[in-house]
Amino acid sequence: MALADMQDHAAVTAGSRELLVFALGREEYGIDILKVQEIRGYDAVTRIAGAPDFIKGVVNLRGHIVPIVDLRLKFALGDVEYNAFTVVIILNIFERTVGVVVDGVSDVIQLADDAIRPAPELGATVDTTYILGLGTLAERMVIVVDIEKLMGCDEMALIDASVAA
Amino acid sequence: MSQFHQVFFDEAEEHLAAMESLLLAVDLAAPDAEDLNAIFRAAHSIKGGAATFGFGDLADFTHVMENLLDRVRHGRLVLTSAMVDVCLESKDALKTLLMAHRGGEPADAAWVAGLQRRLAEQCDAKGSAAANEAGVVPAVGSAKLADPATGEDAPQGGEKLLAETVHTLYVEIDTAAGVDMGELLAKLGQHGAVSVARQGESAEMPWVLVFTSDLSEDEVAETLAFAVAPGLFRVLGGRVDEAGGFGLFVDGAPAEVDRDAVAAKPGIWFEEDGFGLFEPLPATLAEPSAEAAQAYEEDGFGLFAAAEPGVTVPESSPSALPATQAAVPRAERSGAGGAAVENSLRVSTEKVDTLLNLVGELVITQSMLQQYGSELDPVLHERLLDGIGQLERNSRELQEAVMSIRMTPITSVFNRFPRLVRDLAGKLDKQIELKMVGEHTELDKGFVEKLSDPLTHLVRNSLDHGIESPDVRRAKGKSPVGRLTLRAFHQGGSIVIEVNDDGAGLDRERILAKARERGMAVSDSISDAEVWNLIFEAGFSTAAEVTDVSGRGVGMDVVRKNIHAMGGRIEIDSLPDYGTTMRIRLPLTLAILDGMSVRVGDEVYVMPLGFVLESLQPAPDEVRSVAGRGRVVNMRGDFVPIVSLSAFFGGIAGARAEPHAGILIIVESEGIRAALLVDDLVGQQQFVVKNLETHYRKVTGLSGATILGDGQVALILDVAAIVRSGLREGGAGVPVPLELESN
Repeated sequence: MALADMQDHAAVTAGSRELLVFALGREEYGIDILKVQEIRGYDAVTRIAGAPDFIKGVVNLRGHIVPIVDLRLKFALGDVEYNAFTVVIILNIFERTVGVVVDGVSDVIQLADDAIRPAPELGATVDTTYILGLGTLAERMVIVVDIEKLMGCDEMALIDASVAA
Repeated sequence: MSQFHQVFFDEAEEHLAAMESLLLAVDLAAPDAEDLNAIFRAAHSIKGGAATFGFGDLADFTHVMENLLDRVRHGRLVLTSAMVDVCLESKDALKTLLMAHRGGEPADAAWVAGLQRRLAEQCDAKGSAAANEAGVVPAVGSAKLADPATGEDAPQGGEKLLAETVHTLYVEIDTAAGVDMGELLAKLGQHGAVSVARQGESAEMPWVLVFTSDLSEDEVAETLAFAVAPGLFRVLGGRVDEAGGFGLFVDGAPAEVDRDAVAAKPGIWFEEDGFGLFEPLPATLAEPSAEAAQAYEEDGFGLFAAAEPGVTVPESSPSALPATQAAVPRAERSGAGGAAVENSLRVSTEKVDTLLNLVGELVITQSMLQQYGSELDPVLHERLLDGIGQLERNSRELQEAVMSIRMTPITSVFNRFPRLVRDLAGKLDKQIELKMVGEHTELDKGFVEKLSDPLTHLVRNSLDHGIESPDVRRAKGKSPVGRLTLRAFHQGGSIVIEVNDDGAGLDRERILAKARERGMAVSDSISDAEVWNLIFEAGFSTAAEVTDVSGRGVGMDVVRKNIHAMGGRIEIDSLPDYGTTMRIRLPLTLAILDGMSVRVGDEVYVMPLGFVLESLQPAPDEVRSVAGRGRVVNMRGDFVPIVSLSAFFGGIAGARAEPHAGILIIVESEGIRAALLVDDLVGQQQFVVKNLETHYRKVTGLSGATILGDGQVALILDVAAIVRSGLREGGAGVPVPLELESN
C-alpha cells in the first residue's frame, strides 16, 4: 500500500515513470520498475499438472514456492527456447511473488507521461485492457503494460477465484 | 491505548483460565491456602487492571468476587461447593464481560447482576455463621489481636492470621506527588491493620506506615502500585533501617492515629499485639511439631523466648515476627510463583514460520555444499570438509530448535475438559472422574485450535452415550463413578490422543440395525472395527433420543473429517461393558511431513506416509479390468482399484502406463483403498511443507510443495483428493483416456 502511494507520488511529481524494458520476440515492453523484485536466470522448474502451458511450473526462490509464467507462450510469440540467456523477472504483485520468463531485459528508462500515447484500437485481435499506452523513446517503441492487471486476469489462472473446484 | 487494552485482555484471560483450573482442582475438605490465594490474586489482578482501564463493570463484578474470595482465603468463610459453583459461573460471566469489551456480544445484564447478588449472598450468609463458629473454636489467646478495621471478624481472623503468616511491613511513601493518603490508608485498611508511624511532610520525610496483614511484601507492593507510582514508595519487610523509626513510632503512636483505618488505640494495640502473637505461638507450634521445635530451637524458639519477656522492648516484636514466621512461607510462595509465571515470550506464529523457512533454506544450502564437498579431495581440503561436517550438525540442531518453538504442550487443549466434564456430569446426572495423562506431551501449535472441537465431541459422546448412569453402573457391578481418561503420548513420528471411558461400549447390534435402517449394505459377519467405523458415516447417530449434549448425528463424521484434514487418523476400540477408546493419531507437526518421494515419468512427487499401507509390483495377471474400463489389482484376494497418477494429472511425459511395469502404492483414505500407479520409489524422508497457495493457487490433487535436497521443488500429493476424485471419475482408468471413463 505504502509502496503504491509512493509510486503514484513519484510519478506525479516527476511527470514521468521509470520502466524496466524487456523484450518479447521483437517487441519491447515496459513495466513499472517498482513491481520488480529481482532478475535471475532460468532454472529448472517443477511442472504443475493441469496448469495451462504458459505456466511453466514452480521454482524454489529462497524457500518460497514461486510460479513461473512464460510470457512468450502467453503471447504466442513462436519459437521459445530456454538457454543460459533466458531471463526471469521476479515480480512482486498483490503481495505475491511471480516469475516471468522473457527473451531479455534491455534497460531501465525514464518515460515522461506525455511521451506515452494511448494504445490504438487494434480490434478483436489484441486484448488491450492491460496496455497502458505506447511509449516512444528515440527510435524505439515501448509497449507500457499494467503488469498487475495482466497477471491478475482470469486467463492467467495464477490466482484462485473461478478455479476453486 | 488500545495496545494496552490488548495486553490487559490477554492477561485477564490467562488469569481467568488459571482461576478456573484452580477452582476445579480445589479440595473442599482441605483447601490449599496457596491455591486460595492464587484464586484471589487472579481476581484481584483482573480488578486492578479493569479499574485502571476504566472497565467499570468488570471492576465492580470482580470486586464482589474478590470480597468473597478474600474471606475464604482468610478462613472467615468455609469454602462450599455452592461457592465454587458460583465462582465458576462468575468466571464465565467475567469472560463474557471481557468479550463484550473486545467487541463481542454484550453480556446478559440480568445474569451478571444475579450472579453478583449471589456472590454477595455467599459472602454475607456465611459471614455470620463463620463468626459464630469462631466463637466455639477456642481463640488461643489471640483475642487481643483485634483487627481494628473489621472488629467482628477479628477473633477468628486473628487466629487464621496466626495459623498462616503475618507480615508486618513498613511502607514508605513519598507524598510529594500528591497522593491522597486518606484514601490509601482506607484501601490498605481493607487488607489488614494499618497505622501511621510518621506523617510525611516532604520528599525527605516520607510517610511511614506500619502494615500488618497476611499479604507478602510483593503483594503489598502490587496493591500500592495501583495508587502510587512505583518509584514513590518502598515496602520494607520487618526491619526499618533507621533506628529512629521505631523511636518515633513508640513515642508518637498514640498521637498519630489514623482516623479511618485504625479505630482503636493503635499504640496499645500494637504493643499488645506482641502478646497476642507471641503467647500462642509456642502453644500452637510446639504441639504439632515437638521434634521440629528442637531443630528450630536456635532460630525460632530462641527468638520467641527472648521476645516474650521483651514486650517492653517494642522494637524486637515486629521485627522478630516477619523474620521467623514470614520467611519460610514467603520463600515457598516465591518458588510457586516462579513456576506459574513462565519465563516466556509472546511471538507471532508468522515470525516463527519465517524463521523456520530460513532455517529450511540453510539446511538446503548446507546439503548442497556437502554434495559439492564430497567431490573434493579429502586430503587437500580436509579443513573445508571438516567445516562442512560441523555446519551439518549445527544446522540440524538449529532446525530442531526452531521446530520446537512451534510445539506447545497439549495442556492447552486438555485444560478445557475438567470444566466441561464437570458441567456435563451435572447436567446428565452422572458421576464422572476425569483423569488426564500426559498433558505435557507436545504438539504443533497449529493443531491446538483444530483439535479442541473434535476432542470436545468425543468427550461429550463418551459422557452422554458411553458412561452409564450411577444406578445402571451399580447394577452392572461397576463403581458408580464413571472414569474418563484423556491420554496423550508420542508414538513413533506421531502423537496419539486417546479418549477412554469405562462405560457401556458401543452396541454392535444397534449400529448394524441402524445401518440397515439407513439402507447401507452391511452383513452380520463384518468385523468389529468395520462396524465401529460406521459411526463415522454422515448422519449416523444411535442415540435413542436427541439431547442437547449429543445425538444429532452430526458429530462423528465431522470429527473424522477434521482429523483427516490435519493429516491424522481416528480409530476405535470398544468392548461391551468394558468401555470405549477413541484414538486420534496425528503427525507431530504440520510443518514437517514424513513422506515417500515417488517418481512418475520425469517428475518427483511426495506422498504423505500416513496414507501409505504398502507398495507392490504386480504380476501382469494380477491386474484385471472391470467393465472394460476400470482396473483393479488383486491383492491377496482383495480387489483394489488402480489410479494412475499420470492419468490423474492429465498425462506426465515418460510415465509408464502398464501397472506391472511400475509400482503400485496401496493407500487408504477415509476407509477407501486405492492403488496409485507410479514409476519408482525414490526414498523416504522428512520434508518441510510449503504452501502452494502463497504465491500460486490451489491445485486439485496437490496439498503443497516441498524443497528437495538439491533445491528443486517437489509437489506433495493430496492423497485423499486423488482417491476420492480418481475413483469417482469412473475409477481407475490406467491407460484408458479420461473421456471414455466419464460417461
